[in-house]
Amino acid sequence: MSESRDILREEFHDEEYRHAYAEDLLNTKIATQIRVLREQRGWTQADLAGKIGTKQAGVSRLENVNYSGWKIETLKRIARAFDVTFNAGFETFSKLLNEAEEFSRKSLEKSSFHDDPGFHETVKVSADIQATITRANNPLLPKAVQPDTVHPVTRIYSTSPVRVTYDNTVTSPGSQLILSSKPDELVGDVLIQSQLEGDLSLQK
Amino acid sequence: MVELTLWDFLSARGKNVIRRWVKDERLTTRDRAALNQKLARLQQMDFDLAIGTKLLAGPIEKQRHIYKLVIHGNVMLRPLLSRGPIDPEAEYTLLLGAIERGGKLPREAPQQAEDNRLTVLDHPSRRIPHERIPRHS
Repeated sequence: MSESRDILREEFHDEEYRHAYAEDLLNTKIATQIRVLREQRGWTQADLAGKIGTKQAGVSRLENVNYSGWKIETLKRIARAFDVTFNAGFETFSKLLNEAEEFSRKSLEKSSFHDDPGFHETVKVSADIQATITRANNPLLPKAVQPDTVHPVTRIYSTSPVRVTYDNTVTSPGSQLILSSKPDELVGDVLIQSQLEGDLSLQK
Repeated sequence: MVELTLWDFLSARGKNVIRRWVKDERLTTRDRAALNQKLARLQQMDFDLAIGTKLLAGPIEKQRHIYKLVIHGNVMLRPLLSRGPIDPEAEYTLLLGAIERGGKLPREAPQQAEDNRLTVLDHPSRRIPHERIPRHS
């Protein structure tokens, strides 16, 4: 039998039971979320350890669902490393029902600021090979100083017009491929990243 | 989100061995809450995450298919289970209740759990959908 909201509602009338359950869920949730966030970013335990000033074994302990010695300062350091907020607070037991019901790897994953959809729109990029352009002749690449050939042309598809900014210092030749829609429709800046296909982050 | 299914092993007399174990061991309310909580989360996370967070430990000793659910409480509850065994991607079967003392399981427990697993493979009727642990005896 899976755990339904009705079962918990009934069980939580027992004070000792509900507090024991809540405490165990809290430990499970924090440990699991640390692991999920680390894996979401493709980091090793040693990577995270380096960012929060501990050893790999310390991260392993923090990712153990039976660990219970949480310190707010440590959790804030972890939040900083993941570029998310740590939101500690007191809550009603009815909220706990939601938390228990919605627990999943997906629900625990959280974007860092630069991928936070509240601050950035994600645009789809395709790598259609449609033309060959040179940076020196392209008005959309005003900072280009070397007349090298750029191909393929990568197009950005977005629900809103996009202006591409080109930063000669941070993009590799392979990523200097961004063509936008009509210049007079353009708003916002695209943060050019290193990949050619997939998602790019559009700063609102 | 698809939750994994939990099953409980049935003894030859048709008794739920997990329910029986909880009753015989006189688990406290606190232990029962932790056990129910951990089992519910086990159903909601993928196997790799359960291993990675040490919710599950194993495979244990010489048994390639037996894992223990790790619960720190008044006593070290370690119910033994396997993935599947009929559909390893979609279910776990709780095979035997166990308590670790001094960091060790009862000597016969791993083999008994494996025997129970093989029994389920031969006789799928020797298990029933998991019955939630009552919050008190």
